[in-house]
Amino acid sequence: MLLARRVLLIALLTLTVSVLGLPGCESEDTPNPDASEAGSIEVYCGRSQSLVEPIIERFEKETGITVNVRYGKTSQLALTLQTEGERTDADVFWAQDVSSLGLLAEADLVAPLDEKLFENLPAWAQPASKKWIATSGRARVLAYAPSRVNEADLPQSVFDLTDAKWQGRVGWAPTNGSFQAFVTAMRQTHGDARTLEWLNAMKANGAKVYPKNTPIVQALADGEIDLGIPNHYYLLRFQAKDPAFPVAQAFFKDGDVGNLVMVAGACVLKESKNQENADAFIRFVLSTESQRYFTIGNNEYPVVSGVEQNEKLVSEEALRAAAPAVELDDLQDLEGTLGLLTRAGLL
Amino acid sequence: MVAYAFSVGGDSDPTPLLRGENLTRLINTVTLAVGVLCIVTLLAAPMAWLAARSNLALRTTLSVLAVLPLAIPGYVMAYALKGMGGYGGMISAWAGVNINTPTGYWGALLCLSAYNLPYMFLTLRAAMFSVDPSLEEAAFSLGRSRLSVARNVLLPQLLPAFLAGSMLVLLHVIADFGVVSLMRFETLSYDVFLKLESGHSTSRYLASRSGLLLMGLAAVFIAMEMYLLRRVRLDRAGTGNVRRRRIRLSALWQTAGFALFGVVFLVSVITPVTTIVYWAWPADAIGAAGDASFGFESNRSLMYGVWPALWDSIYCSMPAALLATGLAIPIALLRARYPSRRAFVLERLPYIGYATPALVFALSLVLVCLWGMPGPLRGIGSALYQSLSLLVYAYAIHFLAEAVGPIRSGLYLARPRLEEASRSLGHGRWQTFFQITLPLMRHGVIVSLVLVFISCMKELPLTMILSPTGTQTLAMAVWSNTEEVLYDRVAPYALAIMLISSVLVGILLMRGRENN
Repeated sequence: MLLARRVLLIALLTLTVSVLGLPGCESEDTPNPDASEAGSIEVYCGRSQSLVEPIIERFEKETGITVNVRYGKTSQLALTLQTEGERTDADVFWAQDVSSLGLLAEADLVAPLDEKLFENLPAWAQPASKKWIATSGRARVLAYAPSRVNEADLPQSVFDLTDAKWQGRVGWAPTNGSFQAFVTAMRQTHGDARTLEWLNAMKANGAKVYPKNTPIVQALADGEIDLGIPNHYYLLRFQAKDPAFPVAQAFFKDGDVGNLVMVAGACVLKESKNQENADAFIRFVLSTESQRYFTIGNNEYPVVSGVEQNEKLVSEEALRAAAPAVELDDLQDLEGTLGLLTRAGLL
Repeated sequence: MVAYAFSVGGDSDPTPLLRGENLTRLINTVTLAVGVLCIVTLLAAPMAWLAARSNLALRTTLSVLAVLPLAIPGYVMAYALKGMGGYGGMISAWAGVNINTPTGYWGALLCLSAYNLPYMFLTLRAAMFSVDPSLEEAAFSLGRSRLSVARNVLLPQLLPAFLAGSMLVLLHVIADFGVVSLMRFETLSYDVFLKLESGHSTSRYLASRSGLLLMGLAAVFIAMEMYLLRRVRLDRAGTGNVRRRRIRLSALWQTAGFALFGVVFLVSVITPVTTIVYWAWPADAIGAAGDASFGFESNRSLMYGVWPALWDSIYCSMPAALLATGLAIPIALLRARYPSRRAFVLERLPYIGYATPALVFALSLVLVCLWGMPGPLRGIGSALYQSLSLLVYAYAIHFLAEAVGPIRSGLYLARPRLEEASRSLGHGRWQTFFQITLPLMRHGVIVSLVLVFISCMKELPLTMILSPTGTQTLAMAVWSNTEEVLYDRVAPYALAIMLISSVLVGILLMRGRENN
């Protein structure tokens, strides 16, 4: 019995040690697990790994700086950064959409950027605050399956998607950062009540939920759905692999909020202990070389003037004509948007 | 932990526990779990009977084949199903037609049934081996018909095994995240994940609610099992061994038996493996990696990314396997050598961790780390959040039950007399433990290590929520690339998972044979 008690004690001790002891010995070697001579940076990245990984690898190769990336959803990473506050290991936050960047800027977690970086950027890609910087541009579009929907029958506004004619035929991705930015824009242009009504009507109309934009485009090809509202570049990626890919895309009527043009962006964190390397990373992302990769390789819109854009994209003028009158700074209230989406039962 | 979540959630948010979408997702979870249980039982019962009670040719080989799907995690199954149909899928490439493989309820049902069938099969087969045919013969001699014997004699004896198998299946299904998320079927697990990841300030309350619902569902299942098992007594009054008796099958039934095993094997192993190999075929991979690279890393090999992911998997799973086994040894030792009420309770504790759906467990840890720590400890909390040690701890607790079983069986084989002899020769407790007991239960310890390692390597939701920055294990790579429809990139990761788990299990089986 005595021994029994002792063994029990050991079991409990092991448990306690495992809970309390492990973090202690681990925290000593975590900050820079593989720091090389040129140093390292930690990037919290809300963009898809497949889209940005080549850039990051090229940066590592050219500068010798090691980049540790935490990939995740933009909104979640922003929350993590806020929770971590000044304890964060992150040096750079690379976000899929601007609201999370605005959130961090408001919470005063962001380090100032070099003014010169902004000189090359067109006005549409500039936040008023200049606390973060755009890295590439993209547009929301209407993707459709031409074999099942005639171009002439396409809805003229994103609000027409709730028409009974499209019941069960539309795909969307309510958890996606770009979609959420679009909802924020809709709240700006049409108000919260109208937006919630639209969300509920979409749901009632049997809109199919996808986790991301890519599966929306694939589902259009598979025949699961006939219309979808992804970003513009996913289809172009499929078409690069397969020119006969049976999906097409168009804008809604000019100025419709469904054509929202927005940017991905990045900021350096105030608590970063590697400010220089972080700045170098941002500069690299805005270099002509990287911008060419974004437009040719990823089919995005370059944000630096003088970089020739991919010929498969619509011209910058056409893009500006289609875009709704929403400023980048109008897209910051993510919390409100998430609240609406939660109320609609989509999150 | 979850109680904390509930109390916080209770007063700060006006929405009721069961909101519209929660209710739908609860119903979805139940229908899926019941559906999987039905399919699995309908297939596993005849298979187990054929393997244990008939003279079906090659039954040993067939039994091994029937267990193979265990090496294919549910989300890999889901990936294979998705990669098979649709535009550009395997079927359209080979047959030229664009067929959509099922998604939603039917897709999830198919994948989860294929994955869970072996659990039910193994449990029922073991039970059928141990049922004494003499009872049935007695019933026959008393003039009962075949049907009546099956219903009144055989089935009641199989009940405990069936319930145990059902528990495993039901708990797996309601805890599953990988399959339902890839199949886009919204269950409670998916709901917890969605809310946890949404980033809204109230989401953690809503996530706790869904987590609580999920826990409640698990508790209901467990209570149902206990209720059905009450007053079941199946001990033999007499002594002696169970006699093996096999029923002769006619040629027709032999063929039918083969067909049953064959179809199950075709659907649950051959088809997914073929699909994965199809996507792993180098021509496709090079084409895919070549286009978007534009001067950046243009010739990536097929195995690109697999080595780091493999390393991450090992790096996270290995310490967890060691910790779980380390915790399991004293628990099993107490139970086997010093049986008492307390030891009994202690031994049951790991099953709570096992029965708690992984996402709920992850959620509770996140809550405690980020919001649950009292003031001065808050720093420790956020330091723990998404640290390796927390992940290892979560793995170890979640899979502790898997480690206790084999060690305990190993201990039962090691006779206490040897330990007593050692003590009487003047060796101390610890010396006796390290020189006699530990070597005697060596095999059990190795089995525990391997089982926990495999489970951690395949584990998806715990890893996704708790893993440290930049970690991408094989399981995460399969899931995220499947979600992005990068089917060609998934294939090598999926193959790696399947290879490692089947090779490790193979080694275990061979060692087991030698030891016996």
